[in-house]
Amino acid sequence: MNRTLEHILPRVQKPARYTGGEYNAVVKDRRSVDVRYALCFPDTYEIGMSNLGMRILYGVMNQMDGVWCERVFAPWGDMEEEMRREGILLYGLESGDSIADFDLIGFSLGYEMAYTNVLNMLDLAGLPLRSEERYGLAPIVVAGGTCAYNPEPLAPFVDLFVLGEGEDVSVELIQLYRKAREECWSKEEFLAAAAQVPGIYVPSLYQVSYKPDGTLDQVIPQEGAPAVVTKRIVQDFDKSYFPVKTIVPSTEIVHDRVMLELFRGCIRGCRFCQAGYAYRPVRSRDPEILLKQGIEACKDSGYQEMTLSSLSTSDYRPLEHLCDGLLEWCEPNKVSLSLPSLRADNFSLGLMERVQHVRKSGLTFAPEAGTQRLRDAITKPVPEEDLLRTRRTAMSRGWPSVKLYFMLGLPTETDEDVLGIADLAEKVYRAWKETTPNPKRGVNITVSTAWFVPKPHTAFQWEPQISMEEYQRRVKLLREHMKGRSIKYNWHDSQTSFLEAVFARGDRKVAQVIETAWREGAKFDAWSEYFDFDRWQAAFAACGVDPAFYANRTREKDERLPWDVTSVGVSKDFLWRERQRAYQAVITPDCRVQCTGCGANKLCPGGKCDA
Amino acid sequence: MHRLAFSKADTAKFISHLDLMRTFQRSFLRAGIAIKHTEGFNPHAFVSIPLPLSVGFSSGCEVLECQVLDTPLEEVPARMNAALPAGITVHRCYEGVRPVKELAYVNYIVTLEYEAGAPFGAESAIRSLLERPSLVMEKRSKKAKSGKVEVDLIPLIARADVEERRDTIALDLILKAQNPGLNPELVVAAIRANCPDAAPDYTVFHRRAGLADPVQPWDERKTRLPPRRKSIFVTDPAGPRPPDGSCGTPCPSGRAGRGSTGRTHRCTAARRPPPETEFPRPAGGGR
Repeated sequence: MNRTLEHILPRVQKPARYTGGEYNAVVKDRRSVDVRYALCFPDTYEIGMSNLGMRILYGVMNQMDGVWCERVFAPWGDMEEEMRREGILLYGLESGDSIADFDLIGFSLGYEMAYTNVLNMLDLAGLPLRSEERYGLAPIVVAGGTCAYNPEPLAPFVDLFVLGEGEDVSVELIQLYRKAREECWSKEEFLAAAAQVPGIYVPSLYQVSYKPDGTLDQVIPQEGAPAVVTKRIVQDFDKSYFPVKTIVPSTEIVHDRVMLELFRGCIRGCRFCQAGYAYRPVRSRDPEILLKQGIEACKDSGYQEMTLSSLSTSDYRPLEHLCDGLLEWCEPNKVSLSLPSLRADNFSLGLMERVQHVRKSGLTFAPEAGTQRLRDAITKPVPEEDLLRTRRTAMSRGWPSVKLYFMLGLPTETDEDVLGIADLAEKVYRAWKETTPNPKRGVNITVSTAWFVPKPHTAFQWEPQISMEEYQRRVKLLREHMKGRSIKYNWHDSQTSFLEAVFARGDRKVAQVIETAWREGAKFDAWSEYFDFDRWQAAFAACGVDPAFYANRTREKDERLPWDVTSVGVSKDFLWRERQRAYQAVITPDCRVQCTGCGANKLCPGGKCDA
Repeated sequence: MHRLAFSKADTAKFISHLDLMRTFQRSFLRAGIAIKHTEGFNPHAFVSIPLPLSVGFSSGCEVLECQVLDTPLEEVPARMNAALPAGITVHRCYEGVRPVKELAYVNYIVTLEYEAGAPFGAESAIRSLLERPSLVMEKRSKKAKSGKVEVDLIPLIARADVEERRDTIALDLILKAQNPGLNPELVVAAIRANCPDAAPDYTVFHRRAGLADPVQPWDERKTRLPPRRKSIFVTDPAGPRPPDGSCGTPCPSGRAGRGSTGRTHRCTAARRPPPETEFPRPAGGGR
């Protein structure tokens, strides 16, 4: 290990996250590789190592001959200070080498509040922030992940964005890169060729102009770049890479377990949910393959916990069969299974009982809205009778605590809907009182509300976020009506949600604000230890940008949106229709009941999706 | 109770005590070695490390206690090493004999590094510091009301050798291990406080051996204690030895060792100075 690093590590918190050396970490011989890729997650080690996407891309790229993919995470404040003082540049965990010398640097963008960390990590690596200030083929800065569907706020800093699932397109990108290096292309030539690869968006090839009112006027592609870049999906989900041999961290992380991905996409079409739309078309994995992968991954890693993950696990058709198969192995081997994202119905309850037979922890439901009317408007399929019936059953079988998640600020929400949340909590409490075998034990009902953030590529992408004052008024209204000692109410902090709303639907003008805020010290904005709203307000003012323009403004139907240059497969017309139906409180049936023509099926080979 | 003798070095130095136990639990699973679990509502694999190592220290003599169920002990090290993260190496797995409470002393090598070279006079300053009759330092304590407690280092130091090399000063310390134990970081803190000119820019800590008393290794066939630097025996004071290379005396540990003559074997007894030689007593300070 680098001597200076050895000197620093005893002085920082949790030094094991900066050393590498974990079981299954891939260490290759520098001399035998010709492409070095730095896979960066713009948050701490504990958060980044819990991310399945990172592990998948790590495995896919390291399987390639001559390619070495290393992990890079954002060092915590104390470590960053030491690194800057001692002159240590940001390094890959496996080799300890400075990533500025690598060929490709890829950022995984999972959430908008990580944007300042992206800039901070580029700076810590010793690289210029702006794409136009980096010359030559190495390094090329790449970004992908959910936030790449609106890449505009990071457009000046990133050379190219990879949209959608990276398993196939990362391989193609590296092969193109090798060709470029061999034939001595310039960076411009490389980027122009990359723009021709389906799923790659090169922001520097698009000329953006604005109207006097601040909205987008035109986005003109150059050098033959496509007018719209459509995301990529893996062609055969069954055959696609799953990290059976995966890194087992030596230190504690957030999600320290085997994660099995059951299927991608979601049939429900909840109008607020970006993930449900963005991961369409629905594709499932064969349960026999999952069984094999899950058991092998447990054996290889020594993990004693396994999670079945997907957007809506109850909708996985062979779920019971899969659980039977897994439990047969897991029970004697003392591996516990967890199934988050289940629907609130009795079938799921029975399943959860079989799976969580050791200790009954709390149950979590996410009705999102307080009244049936609003739930219909957002297409969240939780009929109240079902919810209450399930609660009664759960309580009689001994599940003592329940968490209910809601959002405030949903489109068409009224005060009546807000109070509906308090009503629902009250009904749940009464249901407990009626059915509990043990009233002295008491019950813990926790209600949590978050401030709704409209996201791009959803039916609500035209909606305004309600203002901060309005959000706080609704929280106060709810608090005053939430009675009962057994009911606890938590509400989500408003300031980060406001910024999230700005970045989620921001354009290139927001990029300047991000850079300004970073220069003033902004980083780790998702962490309360570092987030400073005043600093952001000052940055907006300094750049002459009004954040309310992005967060609180209703978009017109024919307004050109900054993310129109990307496509997740779902058509804009479909989303507008859904929006109209929301205002009429009309439910759209789920994909299994009737195909509603979202358009994502065109991405599938043969044009048929697996709903 | 079985014991694993392992070393912890390089990147593994920074794995904390709790994380290390969990790493071992998972490694046993990966290696396919079944070990005993605890009883109770939430059974988990039983592993225990009797003398925790501070984060950042390397060690050649760590011990992990567990109960291996159905694997022959000789197979355990190789299988574990294939399943452990970098920097942790299991040397052997054996049936524990001596109780942990007899692990009375620990030998540390503490290297004080100076960027501009060891300051003039630092070696003798440190040596005289450690030869004082008493050296009291404040230490953080959870039990004391004020959060701090005073401790006299000298009775807890069985031996302290100070040697200057070009850029560093090496301390060969034998410190009390438990009830109460002394962490060598406190010794370095004492140097910083009392000889500020000799304060190092950086310190490397390495635990070399666990001892039952200042000379005898605690567990059978542990790393040999190297001879004291200033006393090199040219001739064996115990007299001529049998031609098979053994030391000719019945082995004090009572083991029928690998020597060809059965009850005698070549052991550290041959290299230890004879019992008449004086060893520094704790109250007298180091040489």
